[in-house]
Amino acid sequence: MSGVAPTTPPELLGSRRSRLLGRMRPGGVLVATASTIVVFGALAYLVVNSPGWSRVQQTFFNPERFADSFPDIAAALLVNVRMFLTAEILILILALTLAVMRSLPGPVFFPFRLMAVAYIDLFRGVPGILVIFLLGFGIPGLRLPGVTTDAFVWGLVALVLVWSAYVAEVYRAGIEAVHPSQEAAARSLGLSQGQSMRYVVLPQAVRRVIPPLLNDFIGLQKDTALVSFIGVIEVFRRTQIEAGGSFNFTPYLVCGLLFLAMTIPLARFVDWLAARDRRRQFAGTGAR
Amino acid sequence: MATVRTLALAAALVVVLGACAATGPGASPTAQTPAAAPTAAEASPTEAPASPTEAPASPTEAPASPTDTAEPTDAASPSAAASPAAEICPREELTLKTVDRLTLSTDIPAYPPWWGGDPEEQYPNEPEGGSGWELSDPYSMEGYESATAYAIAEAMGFAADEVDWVQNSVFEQAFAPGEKPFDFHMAQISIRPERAEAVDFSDPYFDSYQSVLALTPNEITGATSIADMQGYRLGAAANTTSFDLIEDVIQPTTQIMVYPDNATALQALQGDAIDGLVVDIQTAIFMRDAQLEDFDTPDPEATVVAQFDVTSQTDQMGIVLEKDSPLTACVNAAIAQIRADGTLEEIYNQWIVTGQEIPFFEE
Repeated sequence: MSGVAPTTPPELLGSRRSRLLGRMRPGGVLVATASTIVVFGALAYLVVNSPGWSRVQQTFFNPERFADSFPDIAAALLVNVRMFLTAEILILILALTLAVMRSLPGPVFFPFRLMAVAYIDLFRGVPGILVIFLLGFGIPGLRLPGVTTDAFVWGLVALVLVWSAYVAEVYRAGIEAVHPSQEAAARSLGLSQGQSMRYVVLPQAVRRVIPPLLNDFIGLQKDTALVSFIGVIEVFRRTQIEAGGSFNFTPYLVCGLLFLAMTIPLARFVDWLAARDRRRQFAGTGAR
Repeated sequence: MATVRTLALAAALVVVLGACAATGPGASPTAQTPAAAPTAAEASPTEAPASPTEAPASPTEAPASPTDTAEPTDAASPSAAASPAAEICPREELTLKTVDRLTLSTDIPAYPPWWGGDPEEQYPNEPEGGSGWELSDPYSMEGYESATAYAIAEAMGFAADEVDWVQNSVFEQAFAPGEKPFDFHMAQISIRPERAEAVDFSDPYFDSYQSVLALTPNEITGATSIADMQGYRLGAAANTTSFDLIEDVIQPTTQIMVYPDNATALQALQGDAIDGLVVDIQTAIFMRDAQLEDFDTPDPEATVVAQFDVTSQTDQMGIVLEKDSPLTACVNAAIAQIRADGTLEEIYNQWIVTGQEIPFFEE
């Protein structure tokens, strides 16, 4: 765990950031800076001097409304955080089960494969909002004794159902990307089919799909806003209430910034994870 | 090295953003439009109290003078010469979206009792081929807001066939910055001082009270005080003052539920996701009598549990116009005129079920 292995060529270590900036010579920095100022300056000048700017500024960038609405919106965001953290754990488990079910070989497991395929086709194919509506309004409507009517719970269940289908496919891609020789080697060492899946295939598969998994996690975070449709006052609904009460759109800016504050660090974390993984792969076995 | 470059670019961005932020917050228009008519409830951006108490008596408070006619006001005959509002604002001098025509707006679908008529029907003042409205048809001149809109138009000197309607399908559209597609917008919007910073409001044309609607077998129907309500699951539509009432006045111990619109909220009530729906009393009566009643059984399906009195919350509905619109004063003059000559009261008596028999919540 001593960071970069000496044998790795520097090009292969290229992080996302250095690719954004390109291979610049020292003088290039000055040109890039000047060009950035000119381009963004021109855009800003255009926006600021448009005839509707003062109204737009009042409506979207009102500092007073920003301060007013921030505490309420941030508090409502906790509802989303609670929801997507719980959902993500359930999704990772359910999706992995589905993916493994779908990857089981042989005629004996055909019904399991069929079930997994049917599930994935169904929940990947219907709009998430539909599932949320059906569960959120349908289940309380059944008036089953002892079954909760809490919209938060049913919204969460709907998100788990829908996103597991996506995530199962991500896992499956990872499983299929592990070369068959790996499994063959594991079997030849005397591991059972289950053991080779558990100890050889899955560890490699999961590591490969961590970036797309986190990508879906970000998608899930944003989808929690859909649960507002069945009555839960989460961040989006609270934002809308704040905006509708004052006829001012600044709360939407607050909401957007709060989401970015969650998702951008996560995206950087994924980049870092991917870069680390690449380092490890190119480092070969000796570098550990 | 990469860090230096990033820092340089970030610095450039900060400079640019700073330049944006520094420009003109002072440039925002603050001038109040001159109000020709007495506007006690004028929604001044900063000073207005939360509920304008000095508002001229609206139909709810006006003494019921015996008005025998039950026909909707026939606005087909232009009577510009006789109208004082049209004298204050001669129609040739008005700045309108379409030259010499009034372009009005409301929400689609348009709900009774605010709007009436049948979207399928071709009304004489409706453009050829129908208007594509849902549930109700503003061109019908039926329903409280439609009739009021045409009465205002008449007072401003416009005949019924000189009025066009545009559809507003998203609530936020009515107050988004930029040019509005309408001359004025009427959709049971409550006047609020904060809202008046973004748009112009006319003087109020309706005083609205909130109530609780519930399905009949539910225990909530036995509630008699605001405190009784606190333990129940309550819901309202987003962007309504009904929600504010739940949050600020009832303060329930359970989670408040908020739905995109009244239709979804009603669905939630039917699906037992909530015990009580907080909604203005006229809409509650419409939901009880038209939307929830199945007419197959003798018993009513739903009941309006009780209504909230003035001390809880009063909403005054106002017409929305573009901020600092020169039309605001003219619309106010027209409202003052139809209020003074009894037209508004007539419309009220024709379209509004007062719900006087419904009890008030005790404090």
